[in-house]
Amino acid sequence: MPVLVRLDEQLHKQRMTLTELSERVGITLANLSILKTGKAKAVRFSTLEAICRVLQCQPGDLLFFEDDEGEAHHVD
Amino acid sequence: MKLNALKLSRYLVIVLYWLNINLAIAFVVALAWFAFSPHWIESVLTLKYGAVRATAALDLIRGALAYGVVTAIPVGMLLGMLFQMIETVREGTPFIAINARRLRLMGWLVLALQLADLVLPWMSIYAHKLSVDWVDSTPNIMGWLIALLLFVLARIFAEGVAMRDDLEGTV
Repeated sequence: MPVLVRLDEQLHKQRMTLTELSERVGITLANLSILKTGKAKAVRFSTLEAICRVLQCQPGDLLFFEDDEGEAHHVD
Repeated sequence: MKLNALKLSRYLVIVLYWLNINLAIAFVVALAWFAFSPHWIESVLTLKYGAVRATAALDLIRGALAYGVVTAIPVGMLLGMLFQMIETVREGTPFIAINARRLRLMGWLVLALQLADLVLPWMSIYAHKLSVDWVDSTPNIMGWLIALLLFVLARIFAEGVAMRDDLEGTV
């Protein structure tokens, strides 16, 4: 997938574990793991909103686009 | 309430499935009996209709039995597929590609049965011509509508499967 999810960095910034995030956003740990490992096919706006609210970040801090040449672009 | 309806349908389909098989077996046995030892049925029919009409009446009965045996195959397939679909609902995974294919095939089978039903009025006409006692069948428009409904449902299911696949990876 050329769109990458950088959940780890934001979790690290907020000193938060995935389990803690799961409890605070109300999304199952299994679903958050799917998102974190890049296996998700789509993300709901409501999910993005909840994560951004808890991690105090922007959607662009979580999502990155990497083209075929491997060059990463920030999604804003 | 929904679960009970599903359970009831499941039992009903099982009963109908075995009833269909048993009827088909009975028809085959009757056909074999009339083929290898026709004396009894011939004597009964001769007594009722006379020697000339008895042969034609026996042919008519054989035709009706053969019709029953042949149509038991699509009916059995229909009931079998319906049972498998009910099982997928029980397992919680009805929106799968195979169910869309099953519905389409069921549509074709109902259509084939409706076409086969067109033979029945001819049998009735023949029976009337011979003045033989016969149970008349009336043309059935519901079967054609059910075939149409199954084709539409098959398409809806196929769309449902695609939507479910899309939703599966959504977080």
